[in-house]
Amino acid sequence: MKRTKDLGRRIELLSMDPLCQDISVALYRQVLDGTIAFLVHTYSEIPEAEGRIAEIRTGLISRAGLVAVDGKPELLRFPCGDQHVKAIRRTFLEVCKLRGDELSASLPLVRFDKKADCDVTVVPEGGGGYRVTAPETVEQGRRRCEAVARGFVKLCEMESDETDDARIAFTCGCDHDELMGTLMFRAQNVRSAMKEDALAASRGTLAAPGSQESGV
Amino acid sequence: MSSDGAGATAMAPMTSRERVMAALAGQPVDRTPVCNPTSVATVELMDLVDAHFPDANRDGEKMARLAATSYTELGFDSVMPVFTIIQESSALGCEIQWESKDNWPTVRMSRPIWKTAEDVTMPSDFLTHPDITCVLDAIRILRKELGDEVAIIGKTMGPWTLGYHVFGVEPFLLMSLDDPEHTKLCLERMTEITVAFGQAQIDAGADALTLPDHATGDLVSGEYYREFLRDLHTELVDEIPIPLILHICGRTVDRMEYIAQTGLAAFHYDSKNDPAESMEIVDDRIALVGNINNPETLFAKGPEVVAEEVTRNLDAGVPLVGPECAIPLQTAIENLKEIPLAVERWHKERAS
Repeated sequence: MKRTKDLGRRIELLSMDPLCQDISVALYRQVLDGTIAFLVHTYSEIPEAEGRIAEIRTGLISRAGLVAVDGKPELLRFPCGDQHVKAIRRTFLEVCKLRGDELSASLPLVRFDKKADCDVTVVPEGGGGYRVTAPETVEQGRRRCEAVARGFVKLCEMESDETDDARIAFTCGCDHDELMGTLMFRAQNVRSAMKEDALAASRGTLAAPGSQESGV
Repeated sequence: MSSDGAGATAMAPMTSRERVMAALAGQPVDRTPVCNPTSVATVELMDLVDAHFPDANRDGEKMARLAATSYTELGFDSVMPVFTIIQESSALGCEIQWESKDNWPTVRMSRPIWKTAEDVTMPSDFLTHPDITCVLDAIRILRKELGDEVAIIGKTMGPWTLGYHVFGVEPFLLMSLDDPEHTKLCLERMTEITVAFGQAQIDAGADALTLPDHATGDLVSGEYYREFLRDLHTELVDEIPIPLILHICGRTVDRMEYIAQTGLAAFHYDSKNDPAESMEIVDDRIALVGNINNPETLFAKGPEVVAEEVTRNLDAGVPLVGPECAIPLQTAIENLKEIPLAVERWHKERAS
């Protein structure tokens, strides 16, 4: 009898979780009565696996703002019902980097920005809109705010405001403060996030001997 | 091939093993077999059966457990326990980086072990080296556990790939330019290793053998294949008494004519080759298998796109369908399960 399950579409995978004996943990997307729901799953049957999955689920609630689906507590969804697939994939990977005791609270909407040498703040404006701000006295402040806003556009598939490059919005029209807090440090340096993605994608693919790096 | 290209014939249902062996022999099948001549191991399947890389590449019991999932979980018609391409090279003395659960082991080709044909010798303990015996153990276990239900495919590396591993890629290619005759002598001698490992796998219970010989399109021309490998591969057909499936990555239409002349049972071909064009070239002299794209489709897209590629192969009359090469270890299980499902749907649609 088959032991693999129909879990929906796998949208992200952590190949090896160093915080739980290198088990593989995946995020699956399901459609339930027209609603997009997410499932955190591992095929590992080691005793610690169940607890680790619960930690990651808790992390997605606190760091992505997901809520449990009524009557199906193993499934999570965004309150807005949207899938925000890029943002949830990235948040899942960030959550998986942390231990359970580090995942209880959401992150603040303000972070120090090295390049601007000041705090950068994401200000909710309602209806899914946000404005990235920095003290007006800081020379690089405006430029960095616009760069961080562009970072959010890439990471969260947000829309930018044509009249103000530091203003962005979720197309669902709902606020997602938890996602913004979690992904703010990534938005400050999107290039490193993209590099990490490319590295992860190339790992695990067998290259012909003539194409392999042989200098190792 | 089946009586109407890749379509089903009205015949009694076959076992997976019968289906694969018939397709490799060019005989009719009840439906197109789904075959994995290289590897379909994934990190999730490793978790499922508690058999992880690198152990599953060095321990026959774990190797067999992971290989069986191809049949028991994914619904393929074959199992292939030799996931790597470095078992022989390890036994020959190459330095191996065994890597971790989520990556492939590689030979440190920057530290070659041989320089000339005089160096080419098969160590007396080659067949009892642990990285060889684990493969033989795995085949025996699979035969015992799965009986005659499913085709068990082994793998023995061809001399060109061994050449890259033991001489280093650049020195080996330079040697082939500077001294073709010496290179041929090296290849001939290394072929003994190919035959010895292949025969040992036959003795252990393999039904067919994959012969990866990476004269790939990016480094080697079709004429090179003709000059250095066509005759060697033809000789292998005489020496190894079970079906051989040649595997070469990349675009290979410029050598398919020569490959088709060898008498090999099948050619495991890459998605860089158009199925219809490839079928036309091989012209029923050799079966084709594979072609489902790994990095862009199986790894990065969803079941719908997988099904489209399966259909493209079936429409072209490709007799065995499967991934183009060893699948990325992070491939989603639902994409792999889609291959046999798409094959079944295609046949049902045509039968109704």
